[in-house]
Amino acid sequence: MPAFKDLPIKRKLSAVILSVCTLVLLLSSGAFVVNEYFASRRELANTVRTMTSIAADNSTAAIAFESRFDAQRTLQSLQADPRIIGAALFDAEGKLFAVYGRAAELPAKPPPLGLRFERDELTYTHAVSESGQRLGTLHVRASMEQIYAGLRTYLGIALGILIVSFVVAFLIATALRRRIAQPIMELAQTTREVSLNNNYAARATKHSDDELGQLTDSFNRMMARIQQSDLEAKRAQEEVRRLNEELEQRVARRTAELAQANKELEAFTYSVSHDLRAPLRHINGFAQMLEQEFSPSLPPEAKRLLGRIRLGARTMGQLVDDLLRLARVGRQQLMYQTWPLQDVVEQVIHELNAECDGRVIDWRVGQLPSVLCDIGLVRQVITNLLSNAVKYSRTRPTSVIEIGAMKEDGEHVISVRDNGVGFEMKYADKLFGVFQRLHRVEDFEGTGVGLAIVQRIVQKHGGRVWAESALGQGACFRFTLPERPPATEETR
Amino acid sequence: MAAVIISWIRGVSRAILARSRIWLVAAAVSLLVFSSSGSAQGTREYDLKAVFIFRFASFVEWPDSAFRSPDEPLVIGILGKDPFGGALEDVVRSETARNRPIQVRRFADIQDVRDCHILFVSRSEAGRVSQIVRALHGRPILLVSDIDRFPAEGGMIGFTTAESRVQLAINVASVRDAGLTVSSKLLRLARVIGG
Repeated sequence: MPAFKDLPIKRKLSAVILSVCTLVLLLSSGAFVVNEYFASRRELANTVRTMTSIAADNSTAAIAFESRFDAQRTLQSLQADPRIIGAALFDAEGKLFAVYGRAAELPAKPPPLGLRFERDELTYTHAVSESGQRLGTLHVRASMEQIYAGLRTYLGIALGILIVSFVVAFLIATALRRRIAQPIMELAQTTREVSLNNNYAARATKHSDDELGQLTDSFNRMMARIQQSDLEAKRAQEEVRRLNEELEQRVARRTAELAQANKELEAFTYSVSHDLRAPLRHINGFAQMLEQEFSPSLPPEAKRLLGRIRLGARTMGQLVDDLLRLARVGRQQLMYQTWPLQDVVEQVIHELNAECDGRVIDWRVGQLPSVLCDIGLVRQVITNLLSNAVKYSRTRPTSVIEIGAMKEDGEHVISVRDNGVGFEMKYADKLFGVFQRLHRVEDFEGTGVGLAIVQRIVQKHGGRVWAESALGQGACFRFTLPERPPATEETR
Repeated sequence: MAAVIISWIRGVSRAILARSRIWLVAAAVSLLVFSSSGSAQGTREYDLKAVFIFRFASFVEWPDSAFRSPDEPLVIGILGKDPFGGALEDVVRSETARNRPIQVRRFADIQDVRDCHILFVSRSEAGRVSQIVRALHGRPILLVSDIDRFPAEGGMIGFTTAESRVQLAINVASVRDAGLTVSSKLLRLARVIGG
């Protein structure tokens, strides 16, 4: 059974009303019963005292002149009250003179005078005297059974009244409950509705003008205010959402525009490069034909100029090829496969050796891993880096080129070190730009696109590339390849 | 309301109880009357009569004129031959009646009777009853005797012995003529003559 304080209010009301009703009834019934008991006792005592006095007075002559018959007759007058169950008349010597009722229960000797309550009986002993002459003693016993029977009846009636009152109180409590508890319950229901469903439009119904009514009004006013601020908050939120959406749309639009522009630019580069190759071939081709067919008749100066034209055309063709490659790297999808770098490096070295007859190159190739990558592109990276190393170390009597690899933080770091001319570190960040050159073309040939291609490819694989050097101290290029390719490939 | 209900219930139950009680009472009374009728037998006749005479003082009222002063003793007289043999003195010794001391006097002749309140006429005076009555007529003296037909002949209280019990007979006219008042309680016990 739950504690009283945790009961619902309607139960509390019922409990309070019923308990007060019961308590009042019990107290009043108790008071009535007690009062009735003492009143009945008092009344019995008075009656017995009066009747005994009369009987005693009437029996004086009977004792005085020893008329037992008359004494008997006098005592019989006591039967007028059925509560008197026995009487004994003693003469002056204390001898039993006459009895009434149950003789066995009467004392053999006159008891002391006065009124006594003994368990279920009331006894009264009265002196019998005439004109101041003590003639004997009258002892009367009365039963209190009737009082008790009356009290029992009364208790029964009180119980009946209690039950009836309980029922009536219950009905009143039910009616009151509707008046008092119902609005509270409705209010509680409404607050539940509000807190569970966030329904700020909910309002409690006002039933009366008492405190509950005021409470209901206050609640409704509060709800109105909450509803309003809720509405404002929602509106603000909606505004923020709308702005966000707009921003996203704008970003998407810009991104699309940017992608479009990039694509157009690449397409432009590609088509320009592609379209440039045909006239270049013509220039070179016709220059070659001119050189071959009219060589004997051309003066040496013309031959020299023709040679310059052909060199320029070849250089430009190389440049166009490089640019085309660079553009292709940007457009191309990566084709991932696991490939041993060791093999690739060996092949590239083999090719480079074929191109540099008469040079002494000390290749120092370390242990290289197998990597997951687009091997065609990575081969391009290695080719570019190694040919750079060969190119810029040709001023040395013996070129020393070291190729190594190590694993670091889930990446393969591949390094290419040479003992060439090197560069100043303040230009390190310019190395990888298109057409960025740190040396004159006269000193070292090249298009200025190679390292740009390297960077493009490495970045496309999710790796980095950088270089360390000092002027005249050789250079060290490093690039990384992730052990696992990035989840989303860039497709641009 | 409760009190009304209680008293109603009490009335009903009392009526039921009373009906059954009557038979009990009647049975007990008849039993006691028969068993106690022989108890006076052992008492000597005149001892009892002496007690009775003394007790008459309690049940009879004398006019104020019967006493000269408030502390004058109440005098019980014996006329003729004394049958009590001192029993009367034994009874009244150190007793009072109506707050007066009691004296016992003996009179040989009716002429001697003075300042007397109760006069017992002995059987020795049986032949002179009417004479005695006449002589004391109008005087507040209670005349008591065990002479046969004493009340009928103008005496006041007569003792008769029937079934070995002392019974009383009272001539209320004589008592009234003497200016005395006999208690109704006493009259209830006695056989009443005249009136």
